[in-house]
Amino acid sequence: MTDEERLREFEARIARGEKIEPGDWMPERYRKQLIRMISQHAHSEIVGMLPEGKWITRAPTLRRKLVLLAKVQDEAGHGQYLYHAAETLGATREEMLDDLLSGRAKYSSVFNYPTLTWADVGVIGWLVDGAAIVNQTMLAKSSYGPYARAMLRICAEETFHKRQGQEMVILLSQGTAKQREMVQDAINRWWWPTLMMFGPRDSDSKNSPELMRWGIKTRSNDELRQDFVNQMIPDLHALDLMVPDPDLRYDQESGNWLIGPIDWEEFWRVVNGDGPCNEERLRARREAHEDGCWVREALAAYAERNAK
Amino acid sequence: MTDTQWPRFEVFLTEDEGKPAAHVGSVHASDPEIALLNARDVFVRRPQCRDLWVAPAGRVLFRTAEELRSQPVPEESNDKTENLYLVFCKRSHREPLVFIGYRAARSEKAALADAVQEISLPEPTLWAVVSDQAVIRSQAQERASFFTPAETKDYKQHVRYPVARLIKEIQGK
Amino acid sequence: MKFGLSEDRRQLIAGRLLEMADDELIVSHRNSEWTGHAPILEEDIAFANIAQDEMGHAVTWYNALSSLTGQDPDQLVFFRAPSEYRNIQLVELPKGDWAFSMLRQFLFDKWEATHLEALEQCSFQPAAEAACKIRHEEKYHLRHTRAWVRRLALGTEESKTRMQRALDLLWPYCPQLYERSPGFHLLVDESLMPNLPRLAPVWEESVRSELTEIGLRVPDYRSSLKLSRDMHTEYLPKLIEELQQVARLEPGVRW
Repeated sequence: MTDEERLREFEARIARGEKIEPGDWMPERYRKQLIRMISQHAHSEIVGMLPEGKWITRAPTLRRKLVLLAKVQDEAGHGQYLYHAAETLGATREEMLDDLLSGRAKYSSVFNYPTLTWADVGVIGWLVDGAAIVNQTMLAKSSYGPYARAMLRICAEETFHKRQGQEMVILLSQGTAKQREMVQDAINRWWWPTLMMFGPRDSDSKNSPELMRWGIKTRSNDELRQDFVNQMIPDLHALDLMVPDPDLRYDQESGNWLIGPIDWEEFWRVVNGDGPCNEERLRARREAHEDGCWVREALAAYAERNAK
Repeated sequence: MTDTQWPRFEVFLTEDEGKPAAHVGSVHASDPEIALLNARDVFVRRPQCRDLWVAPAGRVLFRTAEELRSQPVPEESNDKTENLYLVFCKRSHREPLVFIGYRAARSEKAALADAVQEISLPEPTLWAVVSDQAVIRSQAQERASFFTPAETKDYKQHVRYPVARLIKEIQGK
Repeated sequence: MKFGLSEDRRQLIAGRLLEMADDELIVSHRNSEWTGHAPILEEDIAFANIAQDEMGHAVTWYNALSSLTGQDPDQLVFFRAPSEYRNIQLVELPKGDWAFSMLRQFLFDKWEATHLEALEQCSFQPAAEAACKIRHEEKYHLRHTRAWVRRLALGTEESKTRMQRALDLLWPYCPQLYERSPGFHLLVDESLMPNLPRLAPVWEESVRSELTEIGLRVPDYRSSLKLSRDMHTEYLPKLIEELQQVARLEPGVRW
């Protein structure tokens, strides 16, 4: 079979709804795109542990402590599922972690913003995890078997992340003046970064048509973003919470909530490493990695001695 | 072993009595004991789990239907002794890779060749074979400490967060 | 609930439950400080898992205490002064390096194994039942910490040195695990609670033999530190301040 024939058969399989598994023939670009996407996703989970993890010690009730402890474990676990999926495509964890710690790899830029108050924890749960779920539900239909399976597991575990966040925001919005102020302030800071999670505008997304044909992406950035906005706005307004968008309006005809302009300059700045916390996040991971060197060496030495 | 790499171990999980073990992914670990513990922490944060197995990734032979078509497994005929092998297969792209049974054979490839002959309709999309000696298993008496704790943490169930009721209460005001 | 106990017995048991709950809360707090900073990704999950379980145990003991006295667990945790905490000093020490935290958890897990087994035999039903459930989770912790302590002690020269240093630092604080608070002997006499000092040699013997077997030198001396649970290190106030920071912003509200 020529490569052209193989490509046609590959695309026909995807069109039939079949999953591509490790070991199957795939175009090099398919493999590379998936490694890029999956590893970015994995890195996001790992980096995402930091902004929330630091609130475990300050969580204001015993129940919230338990919830956060469970949540960060899930995030680390999700990172694991995803690194595994990328490994089946030939990436090594060594390379992927090296890319992350060196700053070469990208991860969801939403985690480059600081968590300033307790309310941020609830808002991240509801908005950020909520946005991730919209995206992940689509990815669960991915043509690549290991990725689709990892996403199904992740989606199932992620629902409680969103719900506990929503519950928190509801309680704060109905609480004291201080609590209401805290949560509205958190929403004001997280609304736009959350919308940016869906990626650049369709008109600026060069990869999309190919990703769609190969079942890596089945819906466009703008479509997903609109879905999310339509979900969130009525729920926020029901709590007397606003989003920091003076141009937000409801379009009767389409039934869509239309948002104002996204600051794409900020988006690209943060994606390219110049956000408020990029340096801090990577430094924390790098330090953990360097400080932990003696630990990993010890385990390797023990294993080597006992393998004999 | 490199610094962050640590050898990979494939992980197989049995949810319940009567269900076969299914391949769920892999973990990195420096040695088999750590691999089993890591597998539990990564894959059993929720019920249901009854048994957990790990095997060094290098010891597990994977073959897709496509690979078998282009390169059928050769029959090996040297006289090595027979060992026990675990065989897994994925009957369609919708189903998981599950344990279908043990085969006595002289090698992974021989065990696979046997299994492929037995099961033809519908053609499985993926096969895996591993030597029984390479598999590290959780023990039945460990279920209470390994897996039962996951069942008691109800704050991971999204039904514990009554957002619909809370919203109704607010709208009722 | 009275459980057929006199007022003063109830107070004594409540006091002991508070000690146990505070121990779990504070050790969980220290463990959770490793989130996102563990030496390898797998341990981020594992240590957070241990911290989660310990927090769950704290909740169990605070709830048992609450059923005796009617006090609200969140009130107890978030609105007591550091001097009112009743945890042992071992758990409030800063997390140190990975060897320190892992060894501390191991020593604590070994104690829990011994203590919970005895607690299951006691006549105060709520504690006996809770101990039965908690033991299963502790078994898994011990498996984990034992595996790590072994690997670090036998790994490289550096890891062994760090483990030895950790043991030398932690050992003097261990006797407080089985120190009795005033009035406790009354509970022991009536089999309401286990005889802690009698458990001490069981724990010590087991720990000594395990650690010696992996090449560590367990100190011979008996610690001269006379520690009681109302005495704390300089580290506790800062820990409690962080713990209570958000809750104290608005007392008595829903979070």
